[in-house]
Amino acid sequence: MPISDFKTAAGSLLSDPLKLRRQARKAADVLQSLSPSGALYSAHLRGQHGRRRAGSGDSFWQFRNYMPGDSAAVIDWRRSARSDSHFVRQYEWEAARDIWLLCDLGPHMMFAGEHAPRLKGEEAALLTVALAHLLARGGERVGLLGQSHRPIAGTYGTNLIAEKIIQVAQSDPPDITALTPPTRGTHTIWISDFLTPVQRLRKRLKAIVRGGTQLHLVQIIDAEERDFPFSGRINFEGPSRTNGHLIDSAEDIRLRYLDRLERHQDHVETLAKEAGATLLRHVTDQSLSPCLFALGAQLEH
Amino acid sequence: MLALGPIAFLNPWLLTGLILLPLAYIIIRAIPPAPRRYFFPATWLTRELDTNAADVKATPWWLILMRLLLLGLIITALAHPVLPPQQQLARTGPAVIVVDNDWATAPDWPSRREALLGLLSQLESQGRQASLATTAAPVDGWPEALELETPATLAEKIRAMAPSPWMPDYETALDLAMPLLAQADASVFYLSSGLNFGGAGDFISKLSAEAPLDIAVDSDAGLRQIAFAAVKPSPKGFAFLLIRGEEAPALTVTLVAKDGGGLVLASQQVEFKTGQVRYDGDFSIPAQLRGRAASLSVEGVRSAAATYVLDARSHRPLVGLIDTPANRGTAPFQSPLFYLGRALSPYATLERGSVDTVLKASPAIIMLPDQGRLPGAQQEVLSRWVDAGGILVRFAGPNMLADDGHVSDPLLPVRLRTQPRIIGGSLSWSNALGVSDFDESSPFAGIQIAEDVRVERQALARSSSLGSGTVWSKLSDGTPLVSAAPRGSGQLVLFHTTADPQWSNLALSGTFVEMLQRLLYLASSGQALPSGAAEPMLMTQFLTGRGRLSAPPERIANTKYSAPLSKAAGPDNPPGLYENSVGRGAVNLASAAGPISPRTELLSIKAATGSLPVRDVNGILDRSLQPLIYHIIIILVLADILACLWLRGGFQAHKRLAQRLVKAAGAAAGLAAVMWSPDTHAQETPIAQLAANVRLACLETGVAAVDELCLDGVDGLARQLNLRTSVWTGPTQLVRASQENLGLFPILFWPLQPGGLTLSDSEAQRLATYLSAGGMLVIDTGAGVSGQARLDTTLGPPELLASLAQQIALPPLSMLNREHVLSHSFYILSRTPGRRGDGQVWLEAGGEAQGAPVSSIILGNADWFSSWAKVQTSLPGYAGGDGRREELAVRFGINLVMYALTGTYKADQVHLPALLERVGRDE
Repeated sequence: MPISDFKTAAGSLLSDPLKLRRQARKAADVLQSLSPSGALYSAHLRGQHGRRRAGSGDSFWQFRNYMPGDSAAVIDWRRSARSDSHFVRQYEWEAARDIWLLCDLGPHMMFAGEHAPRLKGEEAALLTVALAHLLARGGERVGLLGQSHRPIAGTYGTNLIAEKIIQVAQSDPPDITALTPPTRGTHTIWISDFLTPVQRLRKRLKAIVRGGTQLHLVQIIDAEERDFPFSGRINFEGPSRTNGHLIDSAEDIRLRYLDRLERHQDHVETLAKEAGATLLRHVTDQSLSPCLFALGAQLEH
Repeated sequence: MLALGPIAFLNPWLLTGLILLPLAYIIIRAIPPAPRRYFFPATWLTRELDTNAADVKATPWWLILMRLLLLGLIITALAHPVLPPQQQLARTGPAVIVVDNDWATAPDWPSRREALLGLLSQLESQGRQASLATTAAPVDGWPEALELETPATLAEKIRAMAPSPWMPDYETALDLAMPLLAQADASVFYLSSGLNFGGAGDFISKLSAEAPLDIAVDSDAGLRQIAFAAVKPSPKGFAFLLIRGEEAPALTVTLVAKDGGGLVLASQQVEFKTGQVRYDGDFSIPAQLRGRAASLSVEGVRSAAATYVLDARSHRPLVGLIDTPANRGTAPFQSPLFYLGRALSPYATLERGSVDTVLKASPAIIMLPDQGRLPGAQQEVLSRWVDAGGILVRFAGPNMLADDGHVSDPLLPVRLRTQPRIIGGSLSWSNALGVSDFDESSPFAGIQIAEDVRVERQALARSSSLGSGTVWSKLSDGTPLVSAAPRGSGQLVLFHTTADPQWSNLALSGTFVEMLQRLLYLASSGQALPSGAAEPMLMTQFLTGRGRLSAPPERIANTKYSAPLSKAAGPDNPPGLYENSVGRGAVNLASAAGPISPRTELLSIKAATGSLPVRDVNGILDRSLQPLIYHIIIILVLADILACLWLRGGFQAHKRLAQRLVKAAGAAAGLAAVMWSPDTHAQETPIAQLAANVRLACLETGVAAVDELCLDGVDGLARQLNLRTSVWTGPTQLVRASQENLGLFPILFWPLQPGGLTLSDSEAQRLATYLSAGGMLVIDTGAGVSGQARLDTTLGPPELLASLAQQIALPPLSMLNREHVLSHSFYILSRTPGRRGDGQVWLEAGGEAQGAPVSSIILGNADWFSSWAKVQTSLPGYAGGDGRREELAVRFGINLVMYALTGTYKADQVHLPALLERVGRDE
């Protein structure tokens, strides 16, 4: 956006918690209406979830051979009777999950291209609150990483998140490497543009996953960042507000930029893979629904 | 002044500024145009691209060149370059400026003065001396001799100079200019009026023989060379003759009559055709206003010749003819009134009637022929009128002497004998008498008396009473023919003979007419007539060259003019108003004596110049190049702005605006094309055709079989609609989402199949616009799963829903229930079956509420198309299914269309009777 707009770009969503909540609820409602009984977030994530591992629960998980030390009471006699060895019936471990949300609202997120409906940061906040909404409806406990002490279930948690996001937006961005990493068994959804140099990104990713959480990355970028539709003599000024980068004919470097961006995206994918994280991409001029859909599907696993 | 080739500079020292150009070159080169500033968070990415020195260019050379040119032009413009006429560059000696200052130069005198001043400033910058010679005598009279002066002092004189209201005098002007022309190196500018008043050819050839001569004429002076050649009273007002210069273009002017205070009394348009030099016309003015008119002028042309000062001679006075039973007679052609009327009507307006009638018209003079003493009351009012300054002219006759009344008649200048004197005739010794010449003191002085005038009878005055009056005219024996006596401030006049041929043939002669005219003049001036050469006249109002009456200049005011009215106007007899103790009159340029008479022709100077070229006035002046350079500078500045914008990629940034402008222009052009197309009504546009009926449409999926199914189904539905409802549909259409005119279809059907149709961004955009503008999209997946109240599974494969959600912004949806308008918009429905079972219908949530918006999206899975198609055709492809289900499907389809067309209109009242009945039954 022209530099003059940057100075005034407050991001109305990022100053009004009510508005943010309303819009997020609308986005969530669209999804909800497509799966009114909570197909994605409610049915599969309703409070108790199979954790795809043995544990205390109601659903059958697997049979395994009896091992010394197992109580005799756990032997499934019906199954054991069909073979020579003894089997133990294991149940899937089911529990409400803790889901941490991490929403990047640094100055580099306060950008919107000329045709974009809102700032990247607004989009990220919207996505965060809509997610929290859906997850809370599904019975999950949701918390804002670095802001909440622990995830909270219910609408109250959602409202809290909307307000905290606005606090985050209005204060300096926290140092992610310094956050207490979420523990094992939790899910963490990190929403950012990931357009940071790879080294720094790697450090942050590592810092987050070192506690053993399952990480989901949602990359929000603007169409202009993706397409670089510029031409002419432009001084590109970054968020650090130091000297800009003067380019005489932007159209000439477009291909090189796209190439460089693709390499960076590849890096991000590699990093995600290294950290065992999923990666979703979202461009601000698209509807949030597919992104929410996909996220729901990912959380299911 | 510095001359470089054909160009001269008025401020040449400013050209030193051009030294700055190399410095400017360095500066401009170092400072490229400012870039557009753009906030872009991923700047670190662009920084890593190898865009270093090679990419950052300096200012492009063409921009530098353009800016240097701009700077150079600004400096040049400040130095004020001019393009002097070629022939003057070499001249150095004194310049004699000969200027026409006659009446024809007056209308455009200001521009002529500007040209003169321009010429002088040019001479000043050349350091030449000059002298000014006028061709017409200045208002103050000719100077003794001409002297060379500096242009500055001459400019002062020119500013004070005014055009003269007379003709040029080429000879005197030449005599004055000759000594100067004899000087070495002298050259002559002749600023001509464009007219040749005779002698101009000779004048020009003599001038050019002495010194190099430039002749200049104001190019559109011809428009203003217009003059009165004659003005005469006419029955309607004034007959006038206007003349113009040769080669005059078509022109419409307005003639106006003004009173002494400048108030316009009447106006009239005069149209000249191209080349028409004379216009003979009649200016009408109401009789009551005529007397007040002081001048006649051509509006907008300020010259002495385009103004005609009116005096008594040009007025038509109002003459009252008193008609009494006695003088009316029995035969109208023998009545004295008839003869008087014939004699006066060319010069006067007549008011004929009783004393009262005549007095009401306030005549200038009243004539009362052949009437004895008037009855008391009439005599009373008439005497009062005369006392107040009126002139009563009476004529003798049988009736006057018929009784003794005349003896005591107070309205007679003399006492009369009771019997007329009979001169000549069968009982007389003497012959009828002629009229003797008029005395110098008589108002009739100067009138030639026709030789055959004879008077046979005469009302004789008593000799004792003659002392009280004056005799204005005598018969050859010395007896009075016309006597007069003042009464009050008026005058009583008596013709001692009749106004008809009964007593004399005077009434048949021209002399009679002239005598009456003199009387009219007497009446108009309100005074006694100016009696010939007796007394010199003084000027009271001077007609300036620009056609305005003003106080005469000193020289003229102090001169006594003898008989000016009969002489031609000129420096010695200036035009204007004169008066002496006895009367007043006007001198105009247009008069029988000259200088402008009906025979005058205004000839162009061009024929007289011989081989010398005639230039436009501006042709002898320097042409300033400043405006031209300023224009170039403005263009260059605009080009610079555009170039800078382009360099900054500004066009890209304002692309949207540009696109809009282009679109608007296109729309305007299209509209214009439609409006100009000769038979718009003959060929209906497709849009008009489409809009003529309600049309149902299928969204083209690109899969032929699906499209066909949809079309067949919707056709079937359309047919049922036409059969069962008042909806009359046009042919079903297959439309693309990219189509412009989606808005013409109230409802779109979309058979959504896995992998069937993916909308492009622009199509999705268009569809979204259509829906938000009140369109309705009916989506049928045909999956046919029923039972569960879950959209994601019932609609069909989940990816179908996902792809739908990606393409269309779906509102929150809910299942159709019985309360929804769609369930009773035409039929009351509880099921919505199609080919594939009962099916489900999902639509915008909250539609049951009162006044809820019409759902723009209706999602279903029952494959209604097949059911509808079954009703329409008995194609084998659609075989199967049961009739009841198809009927219900059709009913649902009709409900759909009704819902699309009428919305929630009277949602709860459509079936009010049926609903009420049900309520009763349930209870």
